[in-house]
Formats: sequence, C-alpha cells, structure tokens
Amino acid sequence: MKRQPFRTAEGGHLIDRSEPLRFDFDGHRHEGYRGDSLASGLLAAGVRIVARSFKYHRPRGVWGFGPEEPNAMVATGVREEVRPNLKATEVPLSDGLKASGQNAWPSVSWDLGSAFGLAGDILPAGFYYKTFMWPARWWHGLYEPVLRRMAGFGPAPAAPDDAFYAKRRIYADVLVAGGGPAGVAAALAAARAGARVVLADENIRFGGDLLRAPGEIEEGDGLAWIDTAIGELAAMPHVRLLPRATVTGYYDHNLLLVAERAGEEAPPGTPQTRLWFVRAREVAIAAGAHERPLLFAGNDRPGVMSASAAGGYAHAYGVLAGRRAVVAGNNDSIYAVARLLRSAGASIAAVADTRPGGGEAPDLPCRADRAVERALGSRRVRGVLLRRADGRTSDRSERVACDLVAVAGGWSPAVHLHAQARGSLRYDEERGLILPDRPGGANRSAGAAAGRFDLDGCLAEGWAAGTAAAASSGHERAAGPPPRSPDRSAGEAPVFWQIGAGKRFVDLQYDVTAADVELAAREGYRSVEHVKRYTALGMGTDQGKTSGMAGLVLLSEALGRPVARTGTTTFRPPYTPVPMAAMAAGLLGEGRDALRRTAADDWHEARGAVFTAAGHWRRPGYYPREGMNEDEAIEAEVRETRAGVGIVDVGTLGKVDIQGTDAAAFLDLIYANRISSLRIGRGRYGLMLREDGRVFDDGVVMRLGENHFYLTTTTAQHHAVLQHMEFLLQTVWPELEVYATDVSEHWFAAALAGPGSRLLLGDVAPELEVSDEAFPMMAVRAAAVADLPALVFRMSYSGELSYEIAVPADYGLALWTRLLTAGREHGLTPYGIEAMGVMRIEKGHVTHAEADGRTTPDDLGLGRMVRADARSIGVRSLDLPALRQKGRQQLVGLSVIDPETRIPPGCQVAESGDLQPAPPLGHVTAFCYSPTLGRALALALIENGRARTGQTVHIASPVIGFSAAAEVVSPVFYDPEGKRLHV
Amino acid sequence: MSDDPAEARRSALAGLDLGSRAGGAGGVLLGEGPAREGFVLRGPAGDAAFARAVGAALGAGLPLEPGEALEIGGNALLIRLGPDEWRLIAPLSDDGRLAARLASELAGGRGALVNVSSASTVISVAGEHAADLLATGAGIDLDPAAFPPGRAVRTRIGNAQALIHRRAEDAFELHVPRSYARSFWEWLEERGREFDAAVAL
Repeated sequence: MKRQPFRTAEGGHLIDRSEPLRFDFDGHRHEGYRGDSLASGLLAAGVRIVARSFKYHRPRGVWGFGPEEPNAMVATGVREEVRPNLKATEVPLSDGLKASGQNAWPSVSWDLGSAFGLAGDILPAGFYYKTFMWPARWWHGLYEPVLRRMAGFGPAPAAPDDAFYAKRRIYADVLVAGGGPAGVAAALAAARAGARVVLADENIRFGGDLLRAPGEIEEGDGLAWIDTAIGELAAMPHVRLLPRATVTGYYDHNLLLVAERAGEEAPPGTPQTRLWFVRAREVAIAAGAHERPLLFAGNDRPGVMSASAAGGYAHAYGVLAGRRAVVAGNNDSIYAVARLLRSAGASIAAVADTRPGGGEAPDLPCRADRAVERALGSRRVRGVLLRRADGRTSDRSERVACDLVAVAGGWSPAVHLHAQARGSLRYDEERGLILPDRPGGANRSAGAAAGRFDLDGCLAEGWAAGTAAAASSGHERAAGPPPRSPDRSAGEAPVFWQIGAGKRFVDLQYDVTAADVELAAREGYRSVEHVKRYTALGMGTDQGKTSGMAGLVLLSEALGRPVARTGTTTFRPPYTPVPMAAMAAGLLGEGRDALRRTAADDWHEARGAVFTAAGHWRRPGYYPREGMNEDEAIEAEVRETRAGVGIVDVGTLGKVDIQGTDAAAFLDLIYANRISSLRIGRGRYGLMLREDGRVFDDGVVMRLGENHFYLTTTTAQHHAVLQHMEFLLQTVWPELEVYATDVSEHWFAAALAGPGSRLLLGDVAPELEVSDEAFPMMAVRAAAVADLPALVFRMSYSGELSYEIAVPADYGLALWTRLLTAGREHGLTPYGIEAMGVMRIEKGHVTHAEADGRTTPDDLGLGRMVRADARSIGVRSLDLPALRQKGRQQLVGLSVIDPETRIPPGCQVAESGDLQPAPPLGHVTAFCYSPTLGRALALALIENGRARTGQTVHIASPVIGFSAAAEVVSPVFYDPEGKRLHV
Repeated sequence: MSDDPAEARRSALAGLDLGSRAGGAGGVLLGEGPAREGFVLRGPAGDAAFARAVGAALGAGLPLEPGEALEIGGNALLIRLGPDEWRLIAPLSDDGRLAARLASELAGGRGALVNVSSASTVISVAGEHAADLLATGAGIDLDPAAFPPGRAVRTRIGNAQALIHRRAEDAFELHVPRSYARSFWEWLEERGREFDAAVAL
C-alpha cells in the first residue's frame, strides 16, 4: 500500500515533498512531509479516528484546520515527556514524532470507554450533579476511581519538563493580531506610515484564509501578494514578524500576551514556547473567523469536517480528507470548496445547499433546499441522508454514499480579543453574527473578525485599520492606496442550524448535544453562563470556538427569546491554551527568586553555617559543631560570647544616610523620641511610630555631623522605613531640606560582643582609643580597623560590651576574616542569629514579634522614651482612649518554673494550666532555652502584664496538650542594671 | 594583614569564579564590569547655586533629561535618576578626587553627596542579543529609539533591581545591588541560554 494513500499527486503549498518525515501515531508508523501538521499527516496516511470524545468516548476525527479544532486531541511524546491536550491541527510534524490520541484506553480505535456511548442516555446534561450523589459510600470505591480513569483530558507527564521556555517584553506602536489578508494589509499600512509594528499570526505561514483557499489580490495570486508584503515588512527594521504566534490575551492598558511556538526547524535551544508581553499603543484585531458546524445526527463522526478545513487540507497540504465528498452548507462557500476538492482529485457526490434558491452550478451535482439529516456509519462516515432543509417529513430522504462530509455553517467572527479588552458586542439579527461594537481599548477590528468576509473588504478594512492605528500612534506618512481584490462576495449565510433528531453535537469536545442544551433550558437555566457550567458547553480547550454560536441560538430558541437577550459568556484570556511551563519561564531553577547574600557569605558557607531565611536574605542561623546537636551548638555560641567574645554578621540591617540643613528637625518628627539633642559622634536608640501610634520600627541613630546622620533600621522594615521617609519628604514636608539615601548595600557590618570585645578591638584598631572613657557607650568613631576604613559604634544588642564595625561592603569579607584571624588568641566565636535571638530574649529586647503592628511603646515598656510635647508622627495618637485603656496586653518575661521544661512553638498564656477552653491572657512572642540562666524563658504579651509581676501563669498549647507553670517577671531577665555593658 | 585596602577589595561575584569559565562566543557576552566609585548626589535641580557648585566641580552642567547619562571626562558619568537625584560614577583610579571636589564645592550649600561605591556590582551585557536578553526580564522599552545609548534607567529586571546604562546599541552595564548580584547573575545566565550566552572577561 502507498505510504500516504490520501496525498494528492501534486499541490500543497505548505509542504516540502522533498523531505519525507516519519512519525508514529498510537504505535503505528506513518509518513508525511516537512510542513505537514499532525492532522494533515494523519489524514494523508488515511487515519480517520484520531481521538475519542470526552464523555461518550465516541470515535472522533479531524474537524478543523487550526486552533478552533474541538476533536483531534492528542498527546505527543511518551511517558515522562508526554505533552497532553494538543490539537493535532496545531502540532507540526517532525521526524520521529510520537503521538497518541486522547481519551482512549487502550487506544483510539479500540476503546473500552465507548460502552458509555451505548448507554448515552444515562449521561444527560448535569450528569455529574445528578448521578454521583447517592449512595455516598460509592464515592471512594466506585465513582471516583472510574471517573479518574474515564474522565479528564489527557495524561499528565511523569517527569519535570526540562525544555526551555522564554519570555520577552517589547513595545509597539501597532500590534496586529492575525496575519491573514486583513492583518497583513493593516501591518503594511502601519509600517509604511512609520509605526513600530508587531505582526503575530498563529500559523506557520502568513496568509490566513488564503492558506486554505486560493484568492486574487492585485491581479495576481493572493498568497503570492502576501509573501511579497511579508518580504517588504521583514526588511523594515521597525517591524517584528511573529509567525506561529497566537495573541492569547488582551489585558489592561493595551498589554497583550503572544504565545510563540518553536518552529520544527528551529535550532536546538530555541524555546519551546516564548511568551511575548507586548505593550502596544494601538491594536489591529484581524483574528479572522471560525466556521460553524451544522447540527445533524452523527455530525461528530470521523469524516464530518468543516468545509473550509476540508478544502484547506487539499489546497495547503495536498491531502484529501476523503475520496467521495458531500459538501453541505448554508452559504456560497460550498461551491468553491467542492471545486477545490474536485480539482484535488476527489469526486463530489453532492453539494447540498440549505437555501431554496441555491444550487445553480451546472458543473456540480447540486441539491438545492437540501440539508444533511444524518451522517451514516459509526467508526467513520459512510454516507449521509439528505432531506428538505425545512425538515418536513413528507419527502423521502435521499441516501448518498460518501467518506467525507464537508459542512459549512457560516462564520463566527473571532471577537475574543475585542471582548477581552472589555469592548462591547452586538448581535446582528439579520446576519446571525455577533460583532464587535464599541472597543474597550485602543484597538479596532478588521476583516472577518469584524464580520467582513469578502477578500476585497478584508483588505480595505485592514488597510484602514493599519492607517488609523499608525496615525493614532503618531505616524502619518502616506501608505498609498489599499490593495484590491475582485472578490467582493458578501459571504452571507442565513442563520440555519439544525435538522432532524438524534445525537446532534453542539460542542464536540465536551460531548454536549442539542438535547443537553434544551434540557438545561427545561430545567430552568436562563443565564448563558449557568448553561455553560451546567452542560460544559464551551468549556473545552477550544473554548467553544465552533460551538458557541450554535449553543447560544439553541438556548435562545428553547427559552423563546431573542439571541441578543441571551448574550454571550464572558470572553476571558487565554484565547488558546498557554503552557504553564511558559508562564513559569524564568521563575524556576537557579535565580528563580532573589537570594541576598552579605559580603561575608562565602565565609559562612565555607564554615558550614546552617542558613536561616530573613526575607530574601540568608543569614547564618548557627555554625554546627562536631559532636553537638543544633541546640547544643547554639548554646555554646551564647556561652562563649557571654564569657569571652563573639562575632556576628549584621550586614543585613537597613542603613540610611540623612543629610540636609533640616535633618535633625526631620528626625525629631519621624522618631517618637528626641534626636536633635544628640551630640556629634554620639548615637541613640530611636523608636519610630506609625500614624496610629503603634510601633513601626526601631534602630540606632548616630550623628556624624551637624547636618549628617546615619541610622539603622531592622532588616525586615528597611524598605518600608525608606518609603515612609521619602513619602513624608515629598508630600508632607516638601519644604524641609533633607536627603535620605539608602546605604544598606554600601555598608557591611559585624558586631563584636562580649567582655573580651574591647581587647580584640584594641588589637585590630591600634589608633583607636577604646577605653570606657574615651569611647563610651553609644559613641561612634571613624577609624582604621584591621587596616580597613571603618565606622565603629559602641552599642549592644546582646547585653554585653559590644562594638559594631561597619566597612564598605567590598571590604566586608576582609574585615570578617581579619577579625577572625586576630580573634583566634581571644577565643573569638562566630555566632548566628539563633544565638543572637537567645541573647536578645535574655535581655528583653523587642523585635517584630513584639512590635507586631498592634503594640504601642507603653505596651512594650518603652513608654518613657516618648516625648510628651512631640509633634512627632504617631505621638498624638497615643492619647486615643483605646490605647490608654486598662487591660491592654503588655510585654512581660515568663520564667518557666521547672528547669527541665522546653517550650514548644505557638503557645498561649493562660491563667490556669488545665487546658480547658478559656480566653487566654495573651500569647508567647518568643521563647528559648537560656544557657545563661539554665531554664526556659519566654517573652509574652499578656493582659495587664506588668501588674501581674510575681504571679504564676501557664504557658499552654491546647493543640498539643502542653502546659507549664511560669512566673511573670520583668522582660529583662539578664543583667537588668546593664552592668555588663561597661565591663 | 595588608596595609593596602585595595587588596582587600572583593567582588560580590568572586565566589562564582567567572575567570575560569570565560571563553567562547555567543549571542550575548556576560561579564563583570570594572568596579567603580559611585556617589549619590542629591540636590534641588532648579537651584542656581547647586548647579554652579556641580558645574565647578565636574566641569559639566547638570544633566536634566530623565535618565541622561552625561560623560564628564576621565571615564566618569553623571546620571539623572530622579527629580533631585543623580549618580556620579567614576573609575576606581579616580581615587575619590572628583567626589572630594564635588563635596567641597557643595559644602555649606544645599545638596548632599553620599558614597555608595560598594553598593553596586557592575555586570556588562553585550552583543547582538544583549537587549533581547534584558527584555526577558525588564519591563522597559529597550528599543534604541526609546532608550538610546547614553541613557540610563533604574528598573526591575529579573529577580533584582538595577541601574541599566546603555553604552552602545548592543552594550549595557547593569549596576546591581551588591547583595543581589550573585543570584541576579544566576538568573541572567539561566535566561541567557536562549541566546547562547558566554562569559567574557
């Protein structure tokens, strides 16, 4: 047998006959040509059953030509690399391609699920809602496993998709969606006018409808004119041509998403899919139209297909979808399709025109006023019954044998993009068309997408749209007269939908029949959106491109109201499915998310630090030690720091440089305590409030000069504090001469802490006077530290004598390693933020666990810091009754009575330890085991906390049945007098 | 210990050992640019004394177009980044002289100068597909008509924020915040696969 029995001897402008390709479908080897789609390759090979339908598992063949395909659902690849839910019409054939039909087990031609088809009447609309209700116990045992096997679209790949996917963001004056005659004319007019143009088309070759059927433009072949125009566009530097690219989404402010598929001859490394984010000043929508089906019994049989597609396979691929064709429809296009099929070698059994006046073509076996009543055959079509189009039963049906039924039900303009942009639609009752009305963005529809079906009209509208779009974007160079075509046929089709009885499919992909839509109407569904969800009409991967209009008319008829009142379902992006992997491009793998590293990060990593995430930062949590578990290692870090000297990387703190003649005044306004009284060379703890009086952030403010300050923020609130300051400077106090500059990235900082820190600092900064008198607490000095230019602050978070040393971050690692080297003889211990956390709990210092956006300074025991006379932000709010009333939660320390107890996370504080339901007093904000005090400690916010000092309360987690008695104490557990700051 | 702080300098990308991976040709060449001195200059654009002080120190007028990157001789740049913000970028060899001159001219008047030399890592992206690579992660219009050579813009790109300076139609320098530099580089290399990106020194 011939390898490609349905391939014509010649013709097919999309294929290259010199390059045969082998492919495999459902385990059978076939051959096609370079340029074929999987659909054309299968048709050429004589494969008619391509998939099984979703619900009834009926055999299905190829129906369409492009993305409107509802039937021919396939998966390519095998097992791990399988790509499910592809349309055979959109899969380019490649050598060695392996594909299989979907919804069939074990294969499309022998499918066990088709038993459902025999029992079809038990699967009406709303089947799921009605059937799987009772008995409930059947759900797990029967319904779910069966449904899992039988339902669902395609197999999921078993392994991660390691193909490359890409994204690109570009700008355009004019984006043209669709590269048919209208779109190419629009692009040419706009580009000649000087506009930056992007022309995107879903097919591998520009031409749109001219790919499927010949046409004449400018006294020559239409496709040749397209090629010339594309050549001219390609030579223009301000034009970008995107074939194989579907405009899938139209979003706010004219942002459009274009999904570009890799070509089959693309070099290795080409992205499988590239998503273009196009910001366009103007959009020309030339998206064409989709051919509608006719409704008759068996209209889903393999061999029943869209007439334009049947003609297209012959014209574009040199493939006959059948040898003996019946062409049936309600408009003039059937005659052209019939002649196209005949010239490709098919015999025409009948051309059935539903219009009483139709059928005057002496060269064709015409049947006027005739429609297909029923398609015969089961696994493939073997004939049709023709009958009078008005459906009267008095006449006998005529039986016509055929293996192809090409149906032409008229056209539905692709109004998707127009509608996605929130443009309004109108229904043209006379023409039976839903048309774009008022645009919702800077766009205009042209050609078939606007209901203009003749070639001359498409060219004229496209040209006008391109010219207008270019002008709106500021490009008015004359582009010349529009191209012309002798084809001015209106292409009008009367609204004719169905005839006869039996299973007339509306939505082929979801197996929704005319009876289902009628049933939904009988059951009380009125809204088209509800009918969509109830029947699943239009919910497939084709989103009802072919079925939508038929469903709408059926529903309107069933409800006895005009189509315009029924309306359409909402058109939402994407127009065609977009692979999830493409959306995730650049968000997976290395660099998927920012990881911020301090300047000493390489050292921490080499030292084996266990890192903790703090926002995007990673910080050493602790440094593991031989023979110690995590807790022991952290405790050792605390002990050695408190007894000797430790070093911690504090490079993640936010740092802000403040300058200007009003700097001090500004800081007085944004901090609740006074800053302006600071002397040069000294620093102060600063407390920042929100406008509502709650604590916003804290840090240290240092005065470097009369009008020059340097302040730190917490790691977490750094950006919020900067925003806060910039907002105030730009909008509230623009008269202040203050410049706040983020210097967090410039400075690296490390803190030396512990009684031994002064000696070590003296060693590495020989020129710096380090005595308590010369370098007192809260003083700042510029000095060379380890031969590096540094700022040294004497301050403490750990509660020990401590110095924070800041150097430009380029020197950060040098500072760190030099301190470690010099510190060897001092027993210097690097510690991480776990040990830092233990030490801060021991000292009762607050973090965002306590300053949680609800607490005031007084709640945290910091009330005395607030200036009474302040105009500062948030201070007046502290007088609000709610912030002054009794019973507010206050920060306390909880000292666990049993020294063996360890506190689990997530505890509340309760009056009683019986774990019975009762309102808690508050909650634990932080807890640790204190190696310094030899027991578990917690900080907690509890009702009237300070008044409870000395009382016993219970730290409790009812969820895990934990309860421990603890004494309420001051939150400063360790060295409350602060003696250790001055050793 | 060394007496020369310059020897203690270390790039945020040092851990990647780019030197050992350099070589090859691709549609894009990625490299670490020479480290620079960087200063944030703040001040009122409309203030004559401020403009005079800047002019006297740098021998050039204040660039006033948004994103204008003015070459001020000696391989230094002054870039307008905001209504009252500029960035002075100078080669390390300048050793702070330009900035010192600027600081002394500004002294006593309005404005502020802040050293941020360690704040950025300079990454160069050059070659035929340089703009295409940046367009995989930046939302700005990179068309030379909209963003010509001699312009700079601060924007989000990939997983970081960067000051992007277009030196030539196909050559960019990205000043990336130091703490982000390494993971940004990883992002850039991963996205660079599309253009067969190679590491250049």
